[in-house]
Amino acid sequence: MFIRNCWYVAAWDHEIPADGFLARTVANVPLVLWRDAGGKVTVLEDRCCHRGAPLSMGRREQGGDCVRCMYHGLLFDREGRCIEAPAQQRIPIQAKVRSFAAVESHRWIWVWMGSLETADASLIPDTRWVDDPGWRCESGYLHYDVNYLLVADNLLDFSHLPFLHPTTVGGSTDYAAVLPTIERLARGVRLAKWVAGTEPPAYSARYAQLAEGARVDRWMNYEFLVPGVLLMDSGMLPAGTSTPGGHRDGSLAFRGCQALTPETDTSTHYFFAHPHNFLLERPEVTREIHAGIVQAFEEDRAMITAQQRNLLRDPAFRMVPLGVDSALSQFRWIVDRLLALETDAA
Amino acid sequence: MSFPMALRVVASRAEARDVMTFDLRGSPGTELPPFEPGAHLELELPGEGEGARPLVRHYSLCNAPAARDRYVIAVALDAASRGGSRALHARLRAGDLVQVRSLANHFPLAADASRHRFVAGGIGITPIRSMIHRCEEMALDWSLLYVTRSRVRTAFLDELQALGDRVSFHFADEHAGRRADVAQALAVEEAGEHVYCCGPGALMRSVAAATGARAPGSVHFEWFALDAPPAAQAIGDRPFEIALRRSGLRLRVEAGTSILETLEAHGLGVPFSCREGLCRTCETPLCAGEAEHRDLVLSDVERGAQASLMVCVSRARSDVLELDL
Repeated sequence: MFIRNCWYVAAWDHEIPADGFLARTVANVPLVLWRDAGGKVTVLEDRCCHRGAPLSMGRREQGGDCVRCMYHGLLFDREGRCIEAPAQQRIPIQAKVRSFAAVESHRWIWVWMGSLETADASLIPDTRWVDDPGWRCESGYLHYDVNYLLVADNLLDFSHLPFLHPTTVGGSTDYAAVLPTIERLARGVRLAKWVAGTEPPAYSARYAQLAEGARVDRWMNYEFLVPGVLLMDSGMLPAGTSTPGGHRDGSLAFRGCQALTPETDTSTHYFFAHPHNFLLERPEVTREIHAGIVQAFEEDRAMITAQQRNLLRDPAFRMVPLGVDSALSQFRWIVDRLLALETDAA
Repeated sequence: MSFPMALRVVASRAEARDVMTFDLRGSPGTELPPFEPGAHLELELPGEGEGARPLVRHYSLCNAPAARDRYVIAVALDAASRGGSRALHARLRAGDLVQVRSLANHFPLAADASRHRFVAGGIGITPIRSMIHRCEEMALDWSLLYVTRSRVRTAFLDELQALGDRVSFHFADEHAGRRADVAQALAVEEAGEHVYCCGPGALMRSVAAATGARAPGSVHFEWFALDAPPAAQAIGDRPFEIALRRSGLRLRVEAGTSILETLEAHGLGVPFSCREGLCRTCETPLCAGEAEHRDLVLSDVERGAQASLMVCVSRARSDVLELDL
């Protein structure tokens, strides 16, 4: 079961071709995405109301303002209404495909999986760093064969960093030993930590031109919002020159943006970008940073996929919780509560 | 007959090493007040020595409730006895009279359970034996995990073995002294089943840990008044108040009820996951008052700071805890 009244990232903007379709399943619903004559993203359920054929195997018509099912020829407008049916003058009002609210924002295509009337664009998380000229990043996507909450668990408990990622994003053990403060939000949690005078992380130290053995002040603040959107603010300054919440002048900083979108109960789309604010004139730096992040995420994926297999093998298995689970448990509690609210309202 | 009453010991016998049963009856033909499985008697025993104050002790009834003419108690000789079990073992004999002050039950069978799962440790078998009698009479679904130090110290061994594979035993001396794997035994939960545990504190705690995710009210414990350390018992049994700074509410946390359950009962749920002090999800800022920390996640420094507590397990040392809720 997934939260319906929620914005899900369905695609990177470039995944939707100018003259074709993208078929993608979100929260167990098959979707077809395409651009209408004005270039606006349109999203319908990818299932013709007649015999259930995928519309993504159909044809854009009228410059993209209509889609024709290429099984029996029904023609649908952007709202999913059937406006032409084979060998029939009167089209039943039931001949309709469900349509979804979609918003293109900072290179991501967000789809509201609840009813059209309840779609509230103000709830779309702010990921402006992905296309801000003051920052650089590449677009990332991974597919996971696991339930999305297992990946959310991973992103809400960074105590795994020195173990699973010793050579990538791991960092020093003194930094890992500092647990973040956790704040409960209406639709997620906010984590914050700031560690003074620690070792710089390997993956960004080489860009900082620090003296050998020089230490840094590091911060890592992020929000994690339903369904699984991570908005990271991390960075470092030379040791002794920063304060929590203080200035960021001259910092080496990142604004990681990540979105987990459940595909099915046991598979997940993972969209991510890791914008950085330094060495913007050197595209190879952006490529290196992105490759480092992908490598770390592959480490996560190998472990979490094996974990999911173990969990499916024995449904009676009970996890032993630990203190480091606080943020992920609070997030899961918020997910459960939103699901319960939707069930009660239904 | 009504309480208090004097009952006569008509028989006493050794059931296992250091375990004796005493069969208490009124005058011939007398029906005693009925009891439900899980009930215990409060006995007044003569103190040791001239002019000594009488000892007041509680013993669970272990006989079938259907037998209305008798109360049978089983008593283990406790090496650290504060007098009660030693007085009974050493001095109480057939023909003696004992004063029964009252009958009470804090450990009843749940009427709506589809299945009863018992976990007994040592002399903790006493109330559960009575419960099993009732289950057998009513043809209820039940099972028992019975943990003891060794076969010779296992009371009612033969009769329980005769009940077949619904009873599983764990004799510690046959497992190199290892404890029973309670988590494994209780891993699979059937819908509607209730768990009952009576035994030493360590066993009760491991059952509590293994059943933390179960529905509230489906797991039952009988604490021996004698076994609980006096200080812990005092805090565990003691009700206290919580004052909620943001909402201005003041609530009473009853003995046997957690702060979290009290909050939930008033529609004030906070995030939780394990409900056993392991996951830190329900950590709540403490504005004033002194907490009795019972979780496993706070460091010694954090415990001393008294700045927050896990409301699922921790209680109060002070009369009031002020929480930032």
